[in-house]
Amino acid sequence: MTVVFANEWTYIIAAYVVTWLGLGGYSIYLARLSRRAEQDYEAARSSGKGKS
Amino acid sequence: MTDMNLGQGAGADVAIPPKRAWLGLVSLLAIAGTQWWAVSNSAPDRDMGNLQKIMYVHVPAAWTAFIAFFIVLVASAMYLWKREEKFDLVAASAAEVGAVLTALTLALGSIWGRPTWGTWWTWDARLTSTAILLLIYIGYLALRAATDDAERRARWSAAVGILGAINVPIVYMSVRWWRTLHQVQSSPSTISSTYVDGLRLNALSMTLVLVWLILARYRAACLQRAAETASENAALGGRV
Repeated sequence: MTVVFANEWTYIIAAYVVTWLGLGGYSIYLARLSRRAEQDYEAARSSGKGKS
Repeated sequence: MTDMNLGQGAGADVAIPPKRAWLGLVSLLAIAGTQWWAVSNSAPDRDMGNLQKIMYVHVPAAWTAFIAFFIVLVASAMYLWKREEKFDLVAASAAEVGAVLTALTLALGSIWGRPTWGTWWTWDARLTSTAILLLIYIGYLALRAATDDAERRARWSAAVGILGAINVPIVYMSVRWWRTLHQVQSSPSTISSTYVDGLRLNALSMTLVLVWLILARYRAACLQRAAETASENAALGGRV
């Protein structure tokens, strides 16, 4: 006989929501980090060209 | 602005890799598809009921965190041997992704533990050793953030990265070395054959996500390093 836990689907849905929030949140953080680093790099390069 | 242009002016011994947005899309579609397939095709377990379905996210997160820390170990050793900055940046990227996956593993284990063990947390050997692993790599990232000199930062973090990875086999074997509340490792050899395909597919798709996240973090790290180098060169007279 299979065991049935109370509110088991609440925990299952919570686990998948946490997974997607974790992976999705970190992906968004990485996209923003890359964009900011690209802008910093372009700014530093432009100021270097201005001096030379 | 193209990736080629970014790479040319980097100044450090690292080339900036391309964006690979397609890999992100493919890996997220793959993980969504394999999760859907596993959840909708797995019958309730005799002891765990439908809670067994949490295995398809908890176990792949733990496995891929271990893979990330193995990459930290190899890249750190390669840095100490070759002294090439790209190895330091690979190690740092894998360490950050590994820490995120370890935190996710602990959160998912906690959600699974509440209905099955009756508690969100217990000082069990597996849980405690995993928490220590996470703290080690948070320390690794804090050390990097606190050290300005690039060469010293790379050397010190390589040492911590190697020492931290030693904890991985301890975490893995903790359920056999000590009497724990946590069950033995979930793998195709220890779970019912009914669940093997779902676990394998989700482990593969999570590995794809791991590869994409490490590559994306590595690209961001290369860009940050290139920006630092360009700023230093600009300050020294425009030799970018």
